[in-house]
Amino acid sequence: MTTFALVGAPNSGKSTLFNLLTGKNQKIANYPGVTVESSIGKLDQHTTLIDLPGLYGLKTNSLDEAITRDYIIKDHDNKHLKKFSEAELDYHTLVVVADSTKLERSLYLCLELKKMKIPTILVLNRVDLAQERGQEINLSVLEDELNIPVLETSRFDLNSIEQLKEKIQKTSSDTKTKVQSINASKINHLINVDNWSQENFKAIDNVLAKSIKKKITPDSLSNKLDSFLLHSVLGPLLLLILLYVIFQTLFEFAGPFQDFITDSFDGIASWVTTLGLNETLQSFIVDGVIAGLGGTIVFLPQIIFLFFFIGIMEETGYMSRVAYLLDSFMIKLGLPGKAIIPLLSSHACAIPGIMSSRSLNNERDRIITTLIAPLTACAARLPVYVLLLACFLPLKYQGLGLLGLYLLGILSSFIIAFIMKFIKPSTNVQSHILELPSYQFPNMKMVLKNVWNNALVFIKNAGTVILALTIVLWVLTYFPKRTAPNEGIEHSYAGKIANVIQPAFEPLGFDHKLTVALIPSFAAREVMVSTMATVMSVDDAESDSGLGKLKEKLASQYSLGVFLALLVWFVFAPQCISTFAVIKRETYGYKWPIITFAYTLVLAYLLAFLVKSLVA
Amino acid sequence: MLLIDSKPCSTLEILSCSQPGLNIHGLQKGAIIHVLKKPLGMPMQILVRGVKIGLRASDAKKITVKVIKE
Repeated sequence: MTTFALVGAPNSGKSTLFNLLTGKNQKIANYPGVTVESSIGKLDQHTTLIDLPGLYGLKTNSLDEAITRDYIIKDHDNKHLKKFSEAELDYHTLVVVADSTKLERSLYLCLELKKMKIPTILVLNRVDLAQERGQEINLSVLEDELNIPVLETSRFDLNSIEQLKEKIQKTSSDTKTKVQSINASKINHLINVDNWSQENFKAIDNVLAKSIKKKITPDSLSNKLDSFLLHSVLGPLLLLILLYVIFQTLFEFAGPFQDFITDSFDGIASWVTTLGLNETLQSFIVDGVIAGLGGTIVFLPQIIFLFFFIGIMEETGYMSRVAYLLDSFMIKLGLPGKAIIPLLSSHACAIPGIMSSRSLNNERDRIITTLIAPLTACAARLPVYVLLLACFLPLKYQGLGLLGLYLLGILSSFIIAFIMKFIKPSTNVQSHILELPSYQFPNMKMVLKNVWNNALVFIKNAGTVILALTIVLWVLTYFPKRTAPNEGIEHSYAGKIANVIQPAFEPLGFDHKLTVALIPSFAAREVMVSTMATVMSVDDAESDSGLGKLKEKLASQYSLGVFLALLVWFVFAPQCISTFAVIKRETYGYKWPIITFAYTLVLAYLLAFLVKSLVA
Repeated sequence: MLLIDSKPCSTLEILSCSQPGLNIHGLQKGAIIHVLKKPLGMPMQILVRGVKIGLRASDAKKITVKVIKE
């Protein structure tokens, strides 16, 4: 087996090439720091391709950059490289991906690798964008100057991808140059010499002076757009308006699709009741499986729209601008501006968000970002927010309510980071560069692929974890069987368990039913919706148990104070089990997951209590 | 003068950069940079080696420059 690895500066399009070459589904976006975890794919039966986190040069500033650097120099002590086999670590050639629109900068790593005598192939990616801006390169001169093979690629030109594939396959049959492992400290000693970078940039200028026939023109469109989108006053205002429009759209656009799903599940439930099944089996199917599964799946349209909008923001390059706009906040919080990327990623799911904190320069910043990332509203909380907001807010204000909850999460994470500034002060002041990539028209195929992947994860969760928990809850709420029709959930096993726990939630206004529905949500947030559907359905078996009625049932049984307390609870309460598992993995121990669990639990309880006390 | 004191739309040459970690991005002695924008309360927008970046004031204070064109 022969191994090739994709390396290059962040946001040069490595993961896009990796996906196109291997058929894999690595997350991609138009901002630096998206890939923090290496991925392995197959080019063909005999050739393995590895996608590594971005790296500007061999001098590293962060954990994710160190993974790539250590892979390149074969310093295999890095624990993040343990997942690779011997053959995968012993690469044949590195494929250096350089962004054609910024060659003056992106050839830096290539030059360093050349100095280290590491075998490389240079890929000039995004050549279509460079050509649009008038750049003309003499490839053969560039090849001669660098003395390595050079290819041009574009994600829109599948022929260029095929040529790259063929080049890699052809190279794999060449005799392998043995790359000796180099100690990281030796590398640091070498590249820390004063004129190292100056020499490299000078060499790049010389090479480009000979090989560039026509220089690239400035990206005037991006500059024009930035004069509005990054304006001191207009910028934040436009961001808020955009978020409001997105959240309101989630409700308005998703509504008809939700009605269709609700009607479909209700139709199936009605059909099941006509089959003449025995009472227990019928309740199991209708109140357990259908109410539980349908209660979650009904929010699929919102999940799809949310990831669609996130995808558009990432693909166009606007996400980097969001990080730029929020940077001054981050300084006051004692965090680098880069920390905003993990926090923004956490809005889809806290797990990749926490993992992307690897791109931060020091351990203190990584820990604090990991600690506050669970406070930002992940997609799993969306079904809960949507359901509860719809119980007490008219449709036209629901988007605003949702925006408020998302802002509450962000604001809380900022406050915690600010407090941590005094508990765990930053010891070293580090430089911070925020790259502002050119705006690009979103590749809808990539956006829809990302939406599809996330929708599948949601459906998979609904069909496995959520369904299993809902069935367990149905068993606990249904048995022992009721002897009289007016007996409520209090007589069931779940009711008895809730009897023990519920007094703790009493001050928050949560009754037996809410307590029963709340407990499984520690496993996964969105379970609360399905368990609520099951609990209400079993508890009120006499009335219409359709999914469409869940909102009405909740609205008629609970006060505004309870709904607000529940929402506050879900903004702050401990995240799902998987999140804590990732925190443990990323912080190498139990200390930080325990601290995160404890502080979010205390915060959720106290603030929900405060809200319930203030609002009747 | 310091980079932080430069005017928007100016072309500058870096004389020194005392902040470690910036040279890998091309912010080093002898580099020619363009100041694009200096929005109030936000990082400076500069063009260095064909890449548009946001640079914090704290970093811009550690770079001395010479004006080439204003």
